[in-house]
Amino acid sequence: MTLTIPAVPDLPAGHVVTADEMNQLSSAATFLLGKPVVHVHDGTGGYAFASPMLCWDTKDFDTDGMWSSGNKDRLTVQTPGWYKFWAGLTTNGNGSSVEFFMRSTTGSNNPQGSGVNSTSNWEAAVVASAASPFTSMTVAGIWPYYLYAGDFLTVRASTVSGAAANTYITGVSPSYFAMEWVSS
Amino acid sequence: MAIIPAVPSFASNDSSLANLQSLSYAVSFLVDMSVRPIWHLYTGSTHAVTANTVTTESFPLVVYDNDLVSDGTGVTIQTAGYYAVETALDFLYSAGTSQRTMAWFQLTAGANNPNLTNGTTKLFGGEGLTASNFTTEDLAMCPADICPYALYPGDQLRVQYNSDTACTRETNLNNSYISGRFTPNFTGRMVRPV
Repeated sequence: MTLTIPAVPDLPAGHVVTADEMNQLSSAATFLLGKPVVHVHDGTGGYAFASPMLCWDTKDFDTDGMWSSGNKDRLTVQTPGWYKFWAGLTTNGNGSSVEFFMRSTTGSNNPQGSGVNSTSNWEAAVVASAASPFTSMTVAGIWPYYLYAGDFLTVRASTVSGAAANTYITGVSPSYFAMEWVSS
Repeated sequence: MAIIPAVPSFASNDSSLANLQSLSYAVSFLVDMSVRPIWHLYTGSTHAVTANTVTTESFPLVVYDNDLVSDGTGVTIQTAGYYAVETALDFLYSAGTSQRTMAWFQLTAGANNPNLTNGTTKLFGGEGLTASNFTTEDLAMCPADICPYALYPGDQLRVQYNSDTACTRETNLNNSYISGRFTPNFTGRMVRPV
């Protein structure tokens, strides 16, 4: 479901504007009003902290087909561009020290070729709590690499010390993962 | 309430001023923060936090709020859409103690939300931290998320938190570089219409 990146026409002085050019401008506005955005969350809880996290079992909204029930560990770009992302992991790990980071992996449309992993970005860490108030690590930012159709982002977590941590959803805001197209 | 633009299509030799104005408004909605819903609220007061009690923060002061969503506590949505939100909070941490604090956003559905029953509450965008063995300083957090539900006029968004230790939610006191150095705020913007 790749959306078409709008081509904004050049309109020099003296130029007689055509209907096609006006419709190109309209298409640009339509694209921006309906740009790719996706939000998924952990609707079950109890997922082990892993690399990558497999907890994105519930789609809240997805305007560009970036989430797939067959690949619940990732959000896959359908429309190339620069993307803003948000992610958070909520846990009730019993005093465990936990961390996670974000990573992108290239697809076949990326000039680097497929399967190239980015460096780790936006690492978060916390000492988890087994009682309320629970703990949640969050990160957000604009991804530092231009993403091509087929590239995907994953959330990669681990338990650094203490008992293995799991995700938790009861009475708290659940773990979440979201992306928004920002620019071509 | 902002008007969601209807993007026109143009026919050959189209001289419709209405179509041009519709396109102009769509562009304004996309690029002009005085048209598209966006807000920045803050509080200039401190707040005494009771241990193990969920607190709803109030942001009574407005930097900008072009869609009049501020309701004195958080926001009441006026224009349907998907919204991204952020908040920044700082809590005074007492030296030598272990202190856990979690903050999140709460959505309460209003009567116009077709997907959630009126009064339904949903939590999202939580961030929680643990501090221990520090000197006296602030525990600061900046939760951010896109609300996982499309929002409709009358839906309310709140910032809430819970700490296992009685403390003070700080504001900018200008008296230390490690404590009370920023003003708690609650910002949001429409990401796209429904």
